[in-house]
Amino acid sequence: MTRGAWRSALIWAALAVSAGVAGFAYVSRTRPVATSLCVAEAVPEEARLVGTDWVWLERTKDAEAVVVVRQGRRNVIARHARIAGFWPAASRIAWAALDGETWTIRTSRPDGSDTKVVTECPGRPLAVWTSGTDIAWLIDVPTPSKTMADFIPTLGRKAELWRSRDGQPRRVGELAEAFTTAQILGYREGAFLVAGVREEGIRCSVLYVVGPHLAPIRLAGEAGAVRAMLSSDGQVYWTAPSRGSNSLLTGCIRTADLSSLLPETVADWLPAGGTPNETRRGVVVTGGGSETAWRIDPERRIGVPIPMLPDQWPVGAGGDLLLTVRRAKMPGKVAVNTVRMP
Amino acid sequence: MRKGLQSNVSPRVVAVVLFVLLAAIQAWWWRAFVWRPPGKGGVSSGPMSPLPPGPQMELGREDVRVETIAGAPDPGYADGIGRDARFDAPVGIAVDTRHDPTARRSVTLIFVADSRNHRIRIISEAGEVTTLCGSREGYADGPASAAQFRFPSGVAVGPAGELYVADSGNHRIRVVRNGSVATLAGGARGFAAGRGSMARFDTPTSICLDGSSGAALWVADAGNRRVRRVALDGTADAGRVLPSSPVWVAAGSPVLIASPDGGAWFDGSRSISGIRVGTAGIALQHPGAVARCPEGGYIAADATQGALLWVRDGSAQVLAGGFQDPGSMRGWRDFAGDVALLGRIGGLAMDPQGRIVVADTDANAVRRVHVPELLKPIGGTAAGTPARRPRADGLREGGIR
Repeated sequence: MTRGAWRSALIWAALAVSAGVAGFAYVSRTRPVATSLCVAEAVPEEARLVGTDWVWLERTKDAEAVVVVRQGRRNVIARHARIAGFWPAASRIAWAALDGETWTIRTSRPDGSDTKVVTECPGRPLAVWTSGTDIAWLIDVPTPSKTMADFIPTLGRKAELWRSRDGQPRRVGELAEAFTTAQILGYREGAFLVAGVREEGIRCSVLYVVGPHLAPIRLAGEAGAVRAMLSSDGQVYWTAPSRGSNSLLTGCIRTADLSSLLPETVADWLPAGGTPNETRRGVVVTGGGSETAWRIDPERRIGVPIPMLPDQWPVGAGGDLLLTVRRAKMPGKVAVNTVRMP
Repeated sequence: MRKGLQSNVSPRVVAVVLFVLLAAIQAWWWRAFVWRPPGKGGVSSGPMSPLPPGPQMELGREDVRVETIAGAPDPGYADGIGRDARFDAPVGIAVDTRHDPTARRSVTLIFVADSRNHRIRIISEAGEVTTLCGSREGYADGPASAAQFRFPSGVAVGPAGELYVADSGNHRIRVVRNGSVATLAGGARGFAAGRGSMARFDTPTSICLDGSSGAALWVADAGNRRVRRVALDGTADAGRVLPSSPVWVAAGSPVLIASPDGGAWFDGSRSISGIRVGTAGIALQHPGAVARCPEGGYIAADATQGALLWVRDGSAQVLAGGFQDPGSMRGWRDFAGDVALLGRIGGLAMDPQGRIVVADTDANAVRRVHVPELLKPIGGTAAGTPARRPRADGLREGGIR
């Protein structure tokens, strides 16, 4: 080969490499790329991103576990017969566990060390929350005498909110409600936010503000089961039946500012159900009846579907990432990935 | 080889073998999928036997009509018309007919104890829902809009148009009169006979006017397992002890009492139990809200079912909704009685037109049930419910406030 031919070949090769790099950059910006995170024993539930750690709940046939994944390493920090709920904070993780006949509220560091039993619960815990130093939990309190007219609020079961800051549990408030499932969303302006699904013939959900010095205030009520989230700027978001459609398959996202307590619909015409998550791209709804995640666009008041790989199923979101599981057959195992949101 | 087979195996043998093989396959198929050995009483128990019997079910009547007059399943608090209004666990209900001087006719108002909203609501004939009294959860007497209740669950209209409220969570009997709320009887939770604040109640859940005298109230003092008589001056007696908590009382002479845990209604001292529902004869186990039916018997509910019943002569007919055992079928659907779905019924009353007004606690709505033989001519006023005046409860004559 002559010198000119070599030069020409080198130029063509450089052009090809540049085109490839540009193409890859374009594709990675506009299309999702799944990165393997770990292999789990079950589909992650209630996954949350705390710093760089993913924390979730795995429910298998034999036991339930709180799992922390740090830098790709999966660490089971708690395994019990049942786990009613958990909450991860930067410095500690709290969970409600059943062993034998006893329900306990426990905490540990994110690496699983320094596990402490905060209290034994007299009733079934419905939800738990922690800021690291402050722990709150909601328990179901049966009526002293079971009555068949328990749908009358004063005769029915109650839910009690408890709190421990200095190791001494104190009752914060009481709700005349029998919940099947509940969430403590967080603590703002001297009060806790609680969301629960009522145990009634016609399923409906309620969100309450519960403080130590005031009667509980119902923030909102919705038909059906809702999942809610308190964002870092003090807005509550929750899933609800669609306001514009009468289809049961269509839902919306509602929000309320804790200062005004006036709910409004922030986006409609979404797939029903799901869980709102706080991310750097705004509120992202995962799960429910949708095969993709939806980003809420408050300006346009609609949900924007996030492009998703065909074999990935989003189960959580945080930061810039979606947590996905691969829809592949792996007996007893679930491949968990992260997908950077475009 | 091929030639050898052709020469050694006779086609007749091959045909017989094939025939036997096919016959065996067919016999196996018939035995496995078709044949059923006869069981006891001729009921087959083979592979194609029917599933075990499911729950027994009794549906309402197709000539009965169910409608929602206010509210919707999502709990909330909003005044408005019809389904724009929101309730949260409506329990007690009372119907009253009053004279409207501007319209020169009687109007019917429905009072609702909106329990989880801690308010008393009014539904007008046009379906407009407004708040009569109550604000947030608590205990405070005073002007209607500033007064506070805690899970009110029973209401009754007094002889002068005043409204009595079983303030269940505050363990008190309250009265709404001249636009103001006052405590008639009760104080801290407990048990004591006495007048005014000296009397003690434990979770009074229902209240009605004494049908015999009209000058006293009956109160279902659920926590004390007693039915108490409270004079209109606030004097409460020690009441009558029941084997299990009375949860509902209904006006009449004598008073009607429902004790769901005891499995019986009481018409005065006469126990009504062992009721069978419909042609299926399902046992009614947890008697719920009840009202005397002018055509005989009682309009009633079961505390665990989404069904409205007409109880007569030891049996109950399902008017609307579904009665199921085991389990229950509950929901929110307006339609003919056999297709409609009801939630658990916290209170019921009959209006002067003979329609049954129901507080559907599960559905957070007030429903109305039309039963053809109970309906009265339009414009007619039921006997015994004359339009009354003057008003003493602070409501404008014939109006809402």
